[in-house]
Amino acid sequence: MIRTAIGVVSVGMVLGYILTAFVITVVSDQGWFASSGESPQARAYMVALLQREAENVAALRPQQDIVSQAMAQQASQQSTQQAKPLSLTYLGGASQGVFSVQIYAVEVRANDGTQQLFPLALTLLGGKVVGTR
Amino acid sequence: MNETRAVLVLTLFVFGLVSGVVVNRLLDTGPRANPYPSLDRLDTEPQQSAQLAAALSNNDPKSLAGLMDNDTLGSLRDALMSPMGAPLVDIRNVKFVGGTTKSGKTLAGYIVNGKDAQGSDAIIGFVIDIEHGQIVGVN
Repeated sequence: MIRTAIGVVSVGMVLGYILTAFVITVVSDQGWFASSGESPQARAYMVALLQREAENVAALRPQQDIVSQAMAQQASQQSTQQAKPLSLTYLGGASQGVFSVQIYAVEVRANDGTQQLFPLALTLLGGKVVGTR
Repeated sequence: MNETRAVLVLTLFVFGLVSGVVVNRLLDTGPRANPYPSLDRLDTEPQQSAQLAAALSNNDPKSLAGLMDNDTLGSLRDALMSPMGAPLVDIRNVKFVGGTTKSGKTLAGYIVNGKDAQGSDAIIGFVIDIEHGQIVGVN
């Protein structure tokens, strides 16, 4: 009897856990109940980009061919020597259907000591960054 | 006896289900923290970019031409491309979402909604770069 009770509770727990994860993923990817707040995926992408985590950046982009991935790795390694991030500011964003646009301002210090402030607008589709400008 | 047993099993299952939801939420670490400091955000929309937004909203090319040079207009045209790569031909809404400023340089972010040349609804983000009171770039 006790074994049955533990089994039923365990099955319920596993189902509850999986269903919650599934629902959250679908709602996030489809942009349902989307607000104008900062997207967790956009934040993760920007932090990974500034910290030169090429694998994390690739994970937040649509699946790419191996050559594009290698080029991204090279660009990441080169940028390590070029600039040091100083600040990351979320300016704002909005969603429409499955698309979401998130805008950031990035401040970096170049090798020659000059500081630069530049914007980056991310377009997300289904939780993946499909465009950067 | 059988009914009591069924109710008990169902109750245990629902308890497990709710526990699973709670465990999922407890283990969710949330969005990644921003390890960098953030600059102060602008309280109000810059006047120069507000004029540009108004010209876009009113479909007024004459005003737009008076606000920036030809190169910057070219950058604006490139910025107003939908995620599908088609130019936005029917602008319905231009909204200032936020901006920041540092060392005399101001960045003002905008979101544009409309229809692209393929007839699809589109949403686009672009940023106006303002220096010394002049629009010097669009990204």
